[in-house]
Amino acid sequence: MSRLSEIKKGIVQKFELSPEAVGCLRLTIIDNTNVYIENHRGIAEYTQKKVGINGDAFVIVISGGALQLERFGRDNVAISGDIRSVQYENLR
Amino acid sequence: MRLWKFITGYVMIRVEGLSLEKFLNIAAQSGITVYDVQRVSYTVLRAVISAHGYRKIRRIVPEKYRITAEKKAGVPFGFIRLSGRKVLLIGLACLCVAVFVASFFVWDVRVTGIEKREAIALTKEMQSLGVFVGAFKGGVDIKEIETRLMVEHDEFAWANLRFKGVVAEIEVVLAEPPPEMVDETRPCDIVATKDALIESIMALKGRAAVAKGQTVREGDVLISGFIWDEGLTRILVAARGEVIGSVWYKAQVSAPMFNETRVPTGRTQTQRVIAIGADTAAVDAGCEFEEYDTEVIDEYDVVGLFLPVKVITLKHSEVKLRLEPADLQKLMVDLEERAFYDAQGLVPDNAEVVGHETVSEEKDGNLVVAVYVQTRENIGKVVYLEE
Repeated sequence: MSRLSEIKKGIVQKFELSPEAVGCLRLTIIDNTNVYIENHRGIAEYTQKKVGINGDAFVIVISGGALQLERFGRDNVAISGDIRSVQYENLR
Repeated sequence: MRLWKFITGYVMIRVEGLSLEKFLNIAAQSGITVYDVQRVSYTVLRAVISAHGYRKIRRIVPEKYRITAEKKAGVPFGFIRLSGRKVLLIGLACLCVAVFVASFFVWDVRVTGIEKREAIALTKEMQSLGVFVGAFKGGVDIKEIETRLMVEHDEFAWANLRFKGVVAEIEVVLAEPPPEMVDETRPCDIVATKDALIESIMALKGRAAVAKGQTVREGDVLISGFIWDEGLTRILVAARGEVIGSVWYKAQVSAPMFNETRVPTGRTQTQRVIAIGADTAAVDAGCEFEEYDTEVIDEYDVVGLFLPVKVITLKHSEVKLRLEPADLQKLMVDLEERAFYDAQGLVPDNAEVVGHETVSEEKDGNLVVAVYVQTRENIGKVVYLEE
């Protein structure tokens, strides 16, 4: 775990905050059709079969078919399509 | 969201270049949200961005990305396209102004809460109060009109006027009629309002003039306010009391006891007529039968004329009238039901129905059924004595 992540974790525990308040990534999955990710750190990869979204200490890889970025903004991203798997990769 | 995008305007873009993820990250970091992103191929991407975002992204994105606008849509771009058509814009502006101005006037007056005929009369009355189609809404004093309606109409318990858009809505609630006020200081009699058999009499003030079991006619004195015993002083009082009478309400209906049937004899005759619109004129001789049924067997238009002219062929079938006795039992039940319904319609609201009787007779080939509905009701009313 990186030094930054440790500090964040400490703040969250100390002040009993919601983790996303200090920039932790929040992932919401609806059925196998929609994924909403908040507090992301940019997009690492995007094809119709695979979307990689950067977090602080990992990459979330969403695999499936006909994947589409419904919305891609500074803080959040909405992905739709036929989602088969959601994986954490490159955990540091 | 889609409506908002339409209002603010959006651009469907095509981005060509290598590492399109980087393009998306640059856009997001610059605060430009990208919608409906589709990776067409490794080097091509399609997306939708706002009109403002499109202007911004062209400045900040490196030249290695080729951005082309495939479609510009939404209200701002619509206005830009319309800006060349000045007459249309002026027309649109005039329409908006006309609609805005029209919204200051009344376009319809609706009355609710009363019967249609009374509503029409009230609508006419409202014209004199300044509420009519075409009236300026700002010139209508709602409070004053409501007050005047309440003052001038005793039958209204409540009246409310409000404007719903361009419609003036008048909502009326009818009042229950107040009970008849009796002057306690004026001498009066209680007299019969209708012919009845006295069921009970309770004279609270005055002297009972009739007894239980006695029949009375309309106008007969039931409780007298004039009390005079021989050798004593004459006293005039305001008679009070309750007189319950048994009243009969009669309704009578009749129907023929024989049904007329038309039996075809087999003889027929055809006749052609010319029809111009709703008028007809016979071409052949008229029908020679005394009683007959007619049907149209052929009809064709006379073409080439401006008028709608048709030639119609009629078939007249001779019939003989035959009287057949009706099902008397069924007819009796039907007539009794109708008569009972009619008789009940005569019964006042405050009367208690205690029974009914049916009388039937045959008269001139008709079955006559009369139903008498018996009620118990207060039959007294106050009639003031002449001083």
